[in-house]
Amino acid sequence: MIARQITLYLVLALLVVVSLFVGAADLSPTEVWEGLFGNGDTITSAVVTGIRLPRVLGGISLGVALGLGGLGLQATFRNKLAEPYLLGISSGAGLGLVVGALLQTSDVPFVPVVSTAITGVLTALLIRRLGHFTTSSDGLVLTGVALNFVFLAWTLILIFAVDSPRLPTFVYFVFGSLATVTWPILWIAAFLIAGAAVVIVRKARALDLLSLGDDEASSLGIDVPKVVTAVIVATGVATGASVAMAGVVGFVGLVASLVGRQLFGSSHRVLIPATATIGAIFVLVSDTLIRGLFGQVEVPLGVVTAAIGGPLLVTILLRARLAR
Amino acid sequence: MSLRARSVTVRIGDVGILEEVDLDAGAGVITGIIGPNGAGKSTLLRVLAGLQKSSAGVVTVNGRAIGDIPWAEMARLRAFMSPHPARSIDFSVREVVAMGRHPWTSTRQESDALVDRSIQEMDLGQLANQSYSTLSTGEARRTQVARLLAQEVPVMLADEPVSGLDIGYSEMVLGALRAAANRGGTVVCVFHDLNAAARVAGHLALMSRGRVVAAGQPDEVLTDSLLTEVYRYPVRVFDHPHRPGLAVLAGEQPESP
Repeated sequence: MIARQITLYLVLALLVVVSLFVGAADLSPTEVWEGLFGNGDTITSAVVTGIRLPRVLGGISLGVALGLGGLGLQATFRNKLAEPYLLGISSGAGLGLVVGALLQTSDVPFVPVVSTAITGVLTALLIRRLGHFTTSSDGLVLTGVALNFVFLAWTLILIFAVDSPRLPTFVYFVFGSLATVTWPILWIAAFLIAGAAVVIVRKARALDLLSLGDDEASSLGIDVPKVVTAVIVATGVATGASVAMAGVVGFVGLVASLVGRQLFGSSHRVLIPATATIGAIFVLVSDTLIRGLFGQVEVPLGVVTAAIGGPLLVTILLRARLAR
Repeated sequence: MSLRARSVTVRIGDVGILEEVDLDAGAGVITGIIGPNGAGKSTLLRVLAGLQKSSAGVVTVNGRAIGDIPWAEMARLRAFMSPHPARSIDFSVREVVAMGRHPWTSTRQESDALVDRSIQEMDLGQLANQSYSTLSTGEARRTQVARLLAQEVPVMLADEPVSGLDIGYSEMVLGALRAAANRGGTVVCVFHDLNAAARVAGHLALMSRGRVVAAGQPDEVLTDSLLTEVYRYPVRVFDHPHRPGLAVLAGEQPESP
């Protein structure tokens, strides 16, 4: 188990290094090194520290946020298909981003990130409320997918109707991209994601016990409403912050948690750091593929994560159907 | 440890689920709650466990109102077993049983020993590493009982502890609950199986439409007339032919030859 954890961290470290070397600008390892530590020329430094480094750190933050978001939602809903994108939380936060951008009168990055985090939380609480009325795991996901379309529709209506220059570029926003990550937004988003991660880590054992059901978890001393609310709010904040940074990126929570459970079992004490790391690895691999394979063409990140995650979801659903 | 409910009333909107219910459960005996579907048995058990707030009335443990007992302390006083276990996440049987130790700060060795003993007591040794979500209903029920035993608390509340179990495992679970009561525990169970209730309960409460309509020794509660009236179906009670106690059968009185 420990060997697997160490391997994960080494893979992530390797990917960070590789990601810094891959990109549209053709830079040698020496140039990247010099750019990173301030010894390079102005353009090299701008590419490495102004574009590639925030992109890599943004990718890690995004993977951690969505990986933990997936785990938190799966534990609170007791549903292995739950994750921020499939439950409509990412799209709800996206709508908040657009509304925040429209209401903003100055270019302070704090405003869109916070408005996105707030709408992420509100959407997460809404899906929790709606979750009480669904009796099957498929029903919860269908409700989330329906919400997803509703929020996406209103986002597009606002984008087309207002056409504000501050609004994110349509395609990148809907499918997500790390190309637009900037340091100011990265700092704020990373701070919020770290706060959400602390909340989820502190509830690790309670998340284990929630799997027994509300009554049995309560009888073992867990304050179930408090834990569920804390984890859902943390998930909403983390998802919202990730959307403010990189738009709507789907399936990261599903893929990270599924791989995490396969490799590390179900105990959240082990699963939380593992899934966060796997989420970061999945995002960095996807983003490095985009930059390595497509070169100058910036394919949205969410297209690659959906290309991998979509078939995975279909496989899970078919397996569950066959097992009945 | 005595568990006592006084004038417990639960209303959800305009619907009365429990009306002025009194119940006394003492140490060293299994108290059985019986009654037809919708009588309020499970709601009463949840109120006794502190999991459902009552609209009126009070539940006390050794004279202390459960609302005044800190939640963490409650977890060291009473264990609860739901009739419908959630089994969506893939914890192993052993991990689920070990969750019963959560309220305690005992050493790893002590916890492991208790968990192992509970697993063996429920004949789950072969399944200890199997995923809880893949178990049959009966295996999951035994895992729940093992978790209940591993929690090692003075008050145990179990909703339908033998539901879904075959005759052998049903006897095993009833034996474990009776042993817990014999060790001085206070055990309260909801039973649908009237023969299981007759077999192990020292005290019975018969419920109908949110009220306790009879309470006392099994021979005071398990009578033809009471059961026939409450279940609205002919029920016969007679002395068990092979052991002390009563047996219950559904059906009309046989016609005289």
